[in-house]
Amino acid sequence: MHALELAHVTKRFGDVVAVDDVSLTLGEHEVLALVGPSGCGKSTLLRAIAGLHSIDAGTIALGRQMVDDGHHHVVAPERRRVGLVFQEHALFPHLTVADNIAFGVRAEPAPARAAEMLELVGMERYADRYPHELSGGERQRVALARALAPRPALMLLDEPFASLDTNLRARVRDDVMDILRSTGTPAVFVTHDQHDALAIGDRVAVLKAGAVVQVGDPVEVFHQPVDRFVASFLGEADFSTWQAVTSDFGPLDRTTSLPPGEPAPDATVMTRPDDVTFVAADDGAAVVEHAEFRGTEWCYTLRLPSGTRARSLRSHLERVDVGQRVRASLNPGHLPVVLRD
Amino acid sequence: MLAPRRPTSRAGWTWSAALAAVLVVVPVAMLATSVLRPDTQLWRDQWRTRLPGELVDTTLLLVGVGAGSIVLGAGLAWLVSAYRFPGSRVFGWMLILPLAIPSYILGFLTLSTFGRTGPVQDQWRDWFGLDAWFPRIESVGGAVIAFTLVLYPYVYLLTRAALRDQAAGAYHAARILGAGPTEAARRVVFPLVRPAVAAGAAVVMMETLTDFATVQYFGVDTVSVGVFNIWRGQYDRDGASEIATLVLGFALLVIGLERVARGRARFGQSGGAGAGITARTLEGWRRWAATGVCGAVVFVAFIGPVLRLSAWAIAEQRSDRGTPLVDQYPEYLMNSLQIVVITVTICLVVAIVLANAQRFGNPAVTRLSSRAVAVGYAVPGPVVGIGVLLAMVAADDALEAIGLNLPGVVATGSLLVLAYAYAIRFLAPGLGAIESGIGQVSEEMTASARSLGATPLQTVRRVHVPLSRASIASAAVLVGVDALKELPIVLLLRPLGFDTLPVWVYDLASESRFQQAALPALSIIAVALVPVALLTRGLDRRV
Repeated sequence: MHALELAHVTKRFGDVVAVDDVSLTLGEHEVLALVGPSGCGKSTLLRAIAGLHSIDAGTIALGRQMVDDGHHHVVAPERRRVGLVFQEHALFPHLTVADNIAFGVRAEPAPARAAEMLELVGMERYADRYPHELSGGERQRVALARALAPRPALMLLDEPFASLDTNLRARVRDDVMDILRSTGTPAVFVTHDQHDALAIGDRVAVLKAGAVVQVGDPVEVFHQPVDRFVASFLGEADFSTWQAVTSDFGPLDRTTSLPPGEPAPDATVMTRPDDVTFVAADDGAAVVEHAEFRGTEWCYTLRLPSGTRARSLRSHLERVDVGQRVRASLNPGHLPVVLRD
Repeated sequence: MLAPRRPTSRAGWTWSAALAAVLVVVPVAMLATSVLRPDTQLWRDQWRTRLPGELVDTTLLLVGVGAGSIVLGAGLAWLVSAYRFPGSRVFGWMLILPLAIPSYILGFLTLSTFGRTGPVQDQWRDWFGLDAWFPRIESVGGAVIAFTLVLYPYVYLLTRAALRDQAAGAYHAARILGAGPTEAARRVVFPLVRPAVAAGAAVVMMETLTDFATVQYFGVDTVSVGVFNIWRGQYDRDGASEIATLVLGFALLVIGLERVARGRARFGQSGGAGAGITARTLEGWRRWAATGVCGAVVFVAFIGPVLRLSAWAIAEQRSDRGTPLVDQYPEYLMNSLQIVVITVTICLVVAIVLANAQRFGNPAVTRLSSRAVAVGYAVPGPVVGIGVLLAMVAADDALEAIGLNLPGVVATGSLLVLAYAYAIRFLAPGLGAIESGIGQVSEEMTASARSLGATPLQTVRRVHVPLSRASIASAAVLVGVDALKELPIVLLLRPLGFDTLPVWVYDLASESRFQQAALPALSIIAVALVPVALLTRGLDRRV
């Protein structure tokens, strides 16, 4: 049984199609990351699942329960058993931490459940504090505890880490994931941050203009993007053609998997900066055009013989001057990815 | 027509909001339609007798009070914002105080002080002989002075806010670009504050139009007085409603004028909360002249009247006439409190429903409903009063037609009718306060509560209301004080023997029993000072 099943979900606001024929399923303990640029419809989709918007076509089912059939049957948000966590946390400022967490608890004694959740998120000592007395990370945990307290069948998290600063972010993200996994609650994350998406999800769904472009395992989506949009949204990508890439980097290592058959000469291919390497050589056919220092590494932009540009990541110890001629090649085991478009 | 399908919104909220809007709009609409089947005989009679004079007096009064308030309000606002002089900070808030004095109180004070039998003219005749000329106070001119003195603070407040929030930055930019202070004021500040001045003047003119008590002290007959006379004199409902359409016409004219004066400029207090114009220190005689002008206005419009009333109240307590006041006071006070409590309760409940309906109901319908409800504040009291009468008579007829005969529900003037009219008039300020309070509660907060299992009603009770408690309190104060001060509607619609404090003051003042009117008048002013104090506190707050 699926925790969540979306079939052909469509949502319009006037003439704007915010969600366009989206079909997705979520396994019983699965975490799905919905990622896309702002305005791609991911938050709208999340709100439709929560019942804050009704949909114009398609169906949404939570477990065995049909919650929106795109027509007249729409279950109110308070009856969906869905937990929501927002970027701004939306804690109730007039209630203490414990009362916030107890807010939605009905089936069992609320104080006991609140205490249990406080322990789960490691906030036992904060029970009587008010939200304004907490730090961003602490608020995030309370928001999570509050959403989990009524034992939701599904958690929905809308940009939950966007309001945290970079230093805190990775740690809170890991904490949240640990807590979610320890309760076994399936979850849908919405994020515009590719690092979050790749780190969090059992699967990643990439949205563009309201439609799902690609969905799959994070490693697969990162390394086998279907098009330029997915390729560049999830990480740094340089594009070329099959013909150019074979002439720029010489014969490819055929032992690793390439798509069966020879791609068309003008097929679009992608390389990522970690795929490309080079050695300085005064008779090299490529040239270093730009160098960007990133702390632990250098990112060099090379102009290849065919005239296309590709970036190459090197250790911070390997300093090369701009203008240096180099011989470019692909790292052993790395291959250019042939895209669909 | 409701949007075809939006099951996440609740029909109950949508319908409640729509119902509130209909209840507010129907009386006004019924009155407006009465012009479609005019009683020609009535209009001919009116035209031969009072109507021309009423039209002239109304026009003169509105123009005079509007112009006077612009000069006094905008001038004083510029003076205290742009210059520093002895007492300028204190005058900044003291100049709002006259807002606490209802016109029907300042009106009789003006008359008793400067009128034919007042101390000033007595002295004048002592000095210059019995036939010495003195401007007639019992005239449109006298009424203009009284209204201007109590109403100019509306223009003053809005102008000051505009000067602080909008004009200051532009003024400094103009100065840096090489314009002198006068040129900067003329080319930049004036155009920027014009919408605020227009909005303030429109409020002032509306308040003037709604009155038909104060003007009668001065022997001025406006169209509002005409409505009152036809209704209270002849109990001619249809006649009163037809004349009331004229009042509505004047109101629309004022709104139209404001639109024209505002042009395409927007009057908004949003935008960067500027640091304000850096005040220039006045030198020499100018500084004392500025102090003198502000001091004179505050004295004439507030301190003097309060002192005079206090002196009268004390004298009345000491007089050997005994103090019938003490016996009657609790009764009138209880009546006032009764109608205030009922009005506040209705307004708060309706406003909370309307403000929340925008979150839970169909957005198009609920937003439109809120706008329609806000219209009530712009409709003059006589129009609301007669409109409610028409609506209640229609309701009575409808009830009778279906065989339900509830005696006394209606036209005779029950407390219910009065509260209905009050609610129409005073819903808008309450709704504004509560909407801004609930606007502070984020959509995410609402969504969180819903997904945690709270129904819309539970969300309102457990989240929205606790979080907007301060706004609800200020809405209660605004509505309550307005309801306590209200005179025109209660004069039109009061049930027999139901006299509130303002009615009492008005009756006593009409019979020139000023000394006896002093105590109730002072109590009204004391209560009315509460929202004014809240205003002054917010005035200099810089975010």
